[in-house]
Amino acid sequence: MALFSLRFGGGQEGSPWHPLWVDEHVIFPSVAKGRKRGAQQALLSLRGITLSYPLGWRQWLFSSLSAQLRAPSRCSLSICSYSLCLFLVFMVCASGKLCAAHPTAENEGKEKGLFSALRERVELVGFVKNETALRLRSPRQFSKVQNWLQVEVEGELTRWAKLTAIARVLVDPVNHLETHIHDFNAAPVDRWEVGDTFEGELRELYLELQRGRFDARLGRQQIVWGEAIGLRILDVVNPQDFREFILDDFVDARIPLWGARLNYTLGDWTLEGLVLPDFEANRPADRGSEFQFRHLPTPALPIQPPFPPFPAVQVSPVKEPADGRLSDAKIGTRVTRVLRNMDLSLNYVYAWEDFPIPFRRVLRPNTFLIAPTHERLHLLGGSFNYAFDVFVIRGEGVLTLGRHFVSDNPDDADGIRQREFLAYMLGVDWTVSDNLAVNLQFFQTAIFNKPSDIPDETVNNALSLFLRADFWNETLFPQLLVLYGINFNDFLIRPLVRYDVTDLWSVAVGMDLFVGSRSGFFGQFAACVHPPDRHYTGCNDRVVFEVKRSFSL
Amino acid sequence: MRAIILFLVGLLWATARLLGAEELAGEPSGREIAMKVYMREDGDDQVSKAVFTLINNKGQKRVRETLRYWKDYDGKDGLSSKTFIYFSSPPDVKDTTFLNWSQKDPTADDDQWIYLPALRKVRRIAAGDKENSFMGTDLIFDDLGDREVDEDEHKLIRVEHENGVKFYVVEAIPKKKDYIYSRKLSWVHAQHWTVPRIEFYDRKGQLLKIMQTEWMQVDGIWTWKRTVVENQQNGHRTEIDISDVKINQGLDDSLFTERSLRSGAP
Repeated sequence: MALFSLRFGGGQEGSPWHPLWVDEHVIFPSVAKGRKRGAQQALLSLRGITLSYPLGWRQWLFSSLSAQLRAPSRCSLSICSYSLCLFLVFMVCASGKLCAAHPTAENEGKEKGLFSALRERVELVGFVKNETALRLRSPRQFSKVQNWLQVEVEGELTRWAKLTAIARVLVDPVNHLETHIHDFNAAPVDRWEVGDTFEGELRELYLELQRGRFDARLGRQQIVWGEAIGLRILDVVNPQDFREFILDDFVDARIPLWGARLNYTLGDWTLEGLVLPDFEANRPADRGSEFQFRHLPTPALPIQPPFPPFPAVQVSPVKEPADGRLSDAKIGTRVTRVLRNMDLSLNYVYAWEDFPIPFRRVLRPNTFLIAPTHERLHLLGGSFNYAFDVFVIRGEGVLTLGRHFVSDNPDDADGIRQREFLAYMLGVDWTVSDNLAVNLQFFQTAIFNKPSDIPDETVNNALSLFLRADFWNETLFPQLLVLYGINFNDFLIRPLVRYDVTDLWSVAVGMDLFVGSRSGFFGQFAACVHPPDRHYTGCNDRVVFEVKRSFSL
Repeated sequence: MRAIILFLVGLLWATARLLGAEELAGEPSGREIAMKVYMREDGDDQVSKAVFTLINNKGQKRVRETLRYWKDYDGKDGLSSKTFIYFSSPPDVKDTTFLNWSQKDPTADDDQWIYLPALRKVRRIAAGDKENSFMGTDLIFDDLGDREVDEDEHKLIRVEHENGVKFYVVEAIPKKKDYIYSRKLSWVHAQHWTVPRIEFYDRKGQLLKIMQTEWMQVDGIWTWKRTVVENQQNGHRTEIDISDVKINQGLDDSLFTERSLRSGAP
C-alpha cells in the first residue's frame, strides 16, 4: 500500500487536480488556529502531544478582540463586548439614517448634528439570508440551514480616506458542514464560534487611501486576480475555505488576509504591489462532515504504518510562517495594461503552499515522523482578454516554480518532490442574444518532468460551461454551470434559478449534482460509499434554496 | 363611390399637411440634423445623479440610484467620450460600476467594463453587450453611450409643429445588420436640437418602445431632466429622473479607469 498518494497534481484552489485530492493516508495534523487562545502561548493538542508556540502580531494589535475572533469557544466577555460594540455601531448608524430618512420637528435639530454627520459620512448595507441545502440521497436530510446576517459599514474619513468593515454572523441549527474535528489544519479563521450552531466573523476591515496616482488598501482584505469562472487559476493570493467544497461563492470562500495593497496608475498602466504579513492556510472540510475529501484518516482510524519496519508514526505540528514577520510575508506584484479591446496583466507572487507539505523521515528505529510544513513558492502568471463583436476571449495562467508533490516511492528521503507546474485557462464569453450569455472554458495543468513516483496525472484537463439568461427585465435569472473533468470523466452540474421579487427580496432554488468516477475531483462526491466512520463520502447531490433580504440604513 | 372615398382621403391628407406639416424643401437633411444634435453643446464634462424607476406591467416598482460621470474626448486617442456610472442603490447592486469608452470610429466597438461587487472583479464585456438591457431598464448600453452619427443612415421624414414649436422627425436606420433596432424615429427640436421623443422599432419593424424626455438648461447647456421609456410590447416602463447636474467640473482622466471601477464614485 502506498504511503502517501496525496495527489499533488494540481495547482490552484478549487481546481480538479487540487492537492487535496487524496487517495490514501495523508497527514495534516492539527495546529488549529482556531484553537489559539488569547495569550502569548497557545496550547495545542495533537494526538496526545501538547505543544506550545508563540502567537502573532495580530494578537498584540487586537488583543481585546482577536483572541476571540480566532478562537472558537463558548460565549465569553470578550465576545459579548465585541458583539455589543458591533451592535451599538449598527444602531447608531441606523438611527442616523432613519432619522435622516424621516425628519421630524423634534429630531430636526439633532439631525443637523451627529446624525447628519453620520448620515453623510457613513453608509451601511447588508443582508439577511437563509441558505438551505437538502441531500437528495441517503441520508436524506438537511445538510445546512444557514441563516446569515452580513453588514458592511463604510465610513468616509476624508475626501481621500475611507474605512470599510464587513462582518457576518451565521446561525445554522443543522450544520453538517462541520464536525469540529479540525485535525487537518481546518480551524476557524478570524472568526468565533458559540456552540455548534453560531459563528461570527470579521470578514474584512480595511482603510482605503487615494492620492493622485497612488491608492492603497490597508487591512484585512481579499485580492482578486484573474478571469476564470468556476475555478481559481490566477486567483492565488487568498487561501480558500473548502467546508462546502467549491460550491460556496468565492467571495465567501476566500479567506481574507491582513496586509497592504498599493497601486500606482499612469495612463493605461497600473502597477500593483502586495505585502501580506499574514498567514492562513487553506481550510479543508472537517473530518466526517458533508464535504470531507475522501480517504482522509479519522480519529477512529489512526494512520496505519505502511511498512513493516515502521510500526509507529509520529506527527509533528505544522510548521507555519509567522504572522507579522516581514520576511514571512506573502509578496506580490501585478502590472496591468489597458489596450484597445484588450486588457493584459503580468503577475508574480512570492507565496506559500496553501496546504502543508507532509515531509517524512525516519525518526528512530521503528518510528516514522511526518513533519508537515508550509513551503515558499514562486508563482509567475498572467492574464488577458480580447473583446470583439459579441465575444470576449479570456485567458490566464500560472507557472509555479518548485511545486511540492508527494512521492509514493518508499525509498525517497523525505517523500516529497519538487517540479515546475503549469495551470492555465482559455475561455470565451459569447453574448448569444439580449437575454443569453455563454461562457466556455478549457483548463489544463501540467507537471514538467514528472517522475513515475508522483502519482498525479502528468496532464490534467477540464472543461466548463456556464449559461446565464435573464427574463422579465432582469428579474428572473436561470443559469447553469457544468464542470467536467476530462481525465476521470466526472461532472459537477449546477442549475440555479433566481428571482428578484423586489429590489430587496430575492429567492433562488438550484441543485448541485455530482456525476462520474470517484477518482475525479468532482466525482468523489458522486458514488455512495458509507464507511463506518463517515456518513457523507459520496452521494452528495443536493437541492439548495435561498431567500435573501437586502437592506441599507 | 370609390371616387368619393378617394376624394375624402385626399382632403383629409391635405388638411393634415396644412395644419401640422411643411414641405421638406429648404430644410436640412436628416444627417445634418443628426449632426446638429450630435454637436449640440454639452460641455467638456458632466456629473449628475440619475434615479431609474422600473415599473412592470403590474405596476410593481424597482428603483436604481446612480451617479454618472461623463467626459468629452472629442476624438482624442480615437475616443468620442468616456462614461462612468456608479450604482448607489438598492443595496443588492450597490457599488456596481460601469465604464464605457466610446470610440470615435463608428465601425469600432466601444470598450466597456463592469465591476460586480459580488465577484469583486472587473470584467470587460463584449461590445455586443451594448444591445443588452442596462441593469434591467428599458434602455440598452448603446442608448446610454454616444452613438456616432455615421453608425446610422439619417433621413428627414417630415416637419411637425406643436404649440408653436417646430420639430424635425428624423428616421435613423442602422448600418449594422441585425442591430437590435431596425429603425428609430426622433423628434428633434428645430431650435435647441434637443430630442424630446424617440420611437424605437424592433428587428421585425414593430414599435418596441417610446422614449420621451423633458429637457432643462444648466449653465446654458441643455440636458435631460426626466426621461420616460415605455416598452410598447410588454408594458414595462422606465422613468429616469436627473438631478444635481454639474457641468465643466474638470474631471480627471483617472476617474475613467479600472481603479475607479473598483473604488467606486469619488
